[in-house]
Amino acid sequence: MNLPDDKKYNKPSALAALTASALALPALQTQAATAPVDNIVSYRYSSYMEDDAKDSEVASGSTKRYDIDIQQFRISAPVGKSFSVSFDALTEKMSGASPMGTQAGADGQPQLVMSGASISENRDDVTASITHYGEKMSTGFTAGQSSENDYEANYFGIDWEWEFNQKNSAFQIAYSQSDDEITPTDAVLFGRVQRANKETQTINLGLSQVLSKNSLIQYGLGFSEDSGYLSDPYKIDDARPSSRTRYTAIMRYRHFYKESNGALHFDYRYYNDDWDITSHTFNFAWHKNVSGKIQLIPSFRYYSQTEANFYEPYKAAGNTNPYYSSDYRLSPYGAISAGLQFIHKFKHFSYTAKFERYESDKKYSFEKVAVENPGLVSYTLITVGFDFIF
Amino acid sequence: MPLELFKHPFKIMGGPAEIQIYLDDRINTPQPHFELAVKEAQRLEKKYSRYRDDSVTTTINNSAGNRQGTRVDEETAGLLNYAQIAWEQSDGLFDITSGVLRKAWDFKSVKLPDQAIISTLLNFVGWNKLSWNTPLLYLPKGMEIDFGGVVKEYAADAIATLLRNNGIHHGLVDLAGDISIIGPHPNDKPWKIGIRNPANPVEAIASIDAYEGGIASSGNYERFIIVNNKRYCHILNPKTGWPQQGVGGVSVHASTCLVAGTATTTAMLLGIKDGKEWLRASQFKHLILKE
Repeated sequence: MNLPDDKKYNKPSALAALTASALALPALQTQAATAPVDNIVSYRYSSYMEDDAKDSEVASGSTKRYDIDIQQFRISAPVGKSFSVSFDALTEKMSGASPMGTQAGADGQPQLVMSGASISENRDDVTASITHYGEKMSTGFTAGQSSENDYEANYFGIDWEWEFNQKNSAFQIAYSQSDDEITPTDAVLFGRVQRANKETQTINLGLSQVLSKNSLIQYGLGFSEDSGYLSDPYKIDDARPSSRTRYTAIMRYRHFYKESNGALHFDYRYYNDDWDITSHTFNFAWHKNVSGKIQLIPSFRYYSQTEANFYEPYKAAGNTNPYYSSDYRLSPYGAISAGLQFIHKFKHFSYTAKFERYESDKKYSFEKVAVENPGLVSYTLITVGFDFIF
Repeated sequence: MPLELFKHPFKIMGGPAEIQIYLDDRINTPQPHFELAVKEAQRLEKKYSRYRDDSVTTTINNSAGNRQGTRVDEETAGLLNYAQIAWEQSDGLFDITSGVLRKAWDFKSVKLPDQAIISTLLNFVGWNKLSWNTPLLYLPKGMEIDFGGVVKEYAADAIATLLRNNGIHHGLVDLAGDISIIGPHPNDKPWKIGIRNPANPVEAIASIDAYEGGIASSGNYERFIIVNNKRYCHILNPKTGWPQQGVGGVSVHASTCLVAGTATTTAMLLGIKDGKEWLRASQFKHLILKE
C-alpha cells in the first residue's frame, strides 16, 4: 500500500480528535475521588506450648510448664476520609507451672523450685486506637487495659508521623505510658507483697527512608523508664531495684527482589539497660510470593543477652547484696527460633497459618556462659487465623 | 510509613497482565482494588470477545444483512464513535471491519494467501460500507466488526480510571504491553516503560518515561510468517489486504492507551517513512524502529 506522494499528513488534530473521542467513553469518565471503604476483621488463635522442665533439673514441684491459648480479635475501619479506628481484644488462658526459684543441687548446679501445676489464669487485653491521616502528618492515639486476677495495667500512647522528601522519608515519634498494679494471690499466706505499683514511660523515635523503588530502611531509638515495684512477687527471695532505664536501637531493612518475586526482611535490635543487660536480636524473613494468592514466609531469629548485675543462678549462703534474682529472663543465654508462615488470599479473605519453634540455651549465647539457668524456656507456637476485608 | 507498592499479576484476553498500585496499607488493603480491576477486565473481555456467542460483537456480527440494523448500548456506541474518528484520522487505515481478512491469512502456515481470496474478502472490508447512526448500526451482509484492535487498550484505560476514581493516585495497568498510567510514583518520578527490541523481543531497547496517559506498542514480531525472507505480520491493511513491511516496532505515548494503540496500528500500516512522518505531524510521542 502506498498513499499518493502529494498527500501531506498535515494533521495536528489527530491526537486531539482521537483523545476527545476516547475521553467521551463512559468507562474513562473521571469522578470525584471517594474515600476508600476498607473494613478489616481479623481473628487469630495461637497455641503456645513450653517444653516441660527436665526431671533432673527440678528440685520440687511440677515439671509441666506453661501452655497458653491465645485468641485475638481485631476490627479496623476508616471513618470519613482521613480517620481510621481500630479495636483489638485479646484473651489468654494460661495453665501449667512456673519456676518459683532455684536452689543448689547436689552437684552444685542450680535446680528449679517449681510451683504446683494448679495455676490456671486468664488475661484479657483490650485496646482502642484512632489515627488521623493528614496530608503530611498522621497522628494516632491508643488506650488500653490488660487485666488478670492479680494484675492490672492501664496504658495509653500517642504517636506522630511526618512524611517529607516527597514521601520518601518519614519521621516518627511516639510516647506511651503504662500504670500497672499487682495484687499477688495468697499474699498473706506466703509473705508476698500485698499490693504494689509500677509505672513505665517510653519514648520512641524512628526514621524511615525509601532507598529505591524496591528497598526501604528504618532506624529507631527507644528510651524507657520503669519505676516502682519491679520484682516478681511469686519468686523466692526476688528483690530487684525500684527503677530500670532501658535503651533500644533498631534497624529494619526491606528489599523486594523482582526476579524472585520475594521480599527480604532483615531486622536488628540492640538493647541495653542499667541492670547491665545487653542483648542483640537478628531477624531474617523471606516473604515469597508463590503466586498472586499464596505467600510463604520462612523466618529465622537469633537472640543473645548478658545477665543482670544482681542475677545469680541460685542464692549463695553468704550473699548480702540487697538485690537478688534467679529469674531465667535475667540470666545470660542465647536463643534461636525458626518459623514458617503460610498466607492464602481468597476473594475477601486471607487465611494464615504459622508454625514457630523457639529454643533458648547457654550454648547459643554470644558470650561464654558458665552456669545455665535451668528455667530457660523452649516453646512451640502455632497460629492460625483469617482476615476478612469488606 | 510511606506508600507501598503492591502488584497483582493475572491473565486476561489471552495474555499476561499486571496491576501495580501504591497505597497506604495502614488504612487500605490492595486486594479489593485488584478485584475491582480484574472484574472490569473480565467484563470487557466477555462483552467484546468474538469467541463468545453472547458477546456484543457476536450479536452485531450476527445482525449483518439485517435491514433494521442493531441497537447498541452506550459504551459500545462510544467505541463505534471512536472507531469512526480513528478511521478518519488514519485515512482509512485503522478499520475495525478488517477482521474478515483473517479468513485469508493463516499465520501458522508458511505460505502466502491467494490474491483472489484477498480480493474477494476486500469487498467486505471498509468502515465506509456500513452505516452508523448512534445508536443504530447497520452492517451489510458478509461484513464483520472486531473490537480486537481497541478493547484491550480501552480496558487498560478503563481500569486505570476506575482505580483513580477509587482513590488510587499512583500506579499503572499493564495488559500485555498495553499500558495505562494511573499516576506517577509517589515521589513524582515517572514510570520507566521498557520498549521491546524488535530484533530480540525479550529485551528492552529503550525506555519511555511516563507520568500519565497510555503507552501502546506494535511490532512485526508479534504474529507473522516469513516467506522468501520477507516478513508478513498480522497487522493487515484494510485497503490491500496485505501487511506493510518496514516497521520493526513502534511505541506511542499518548493521552490514553486507546489513542496510543490506534497510532501504533496506523504507523505499522504506513511503513517506516510515512509512519514516522504521520506520528510526528500528529504530535504523538513515539519511538519507531526499522525492520
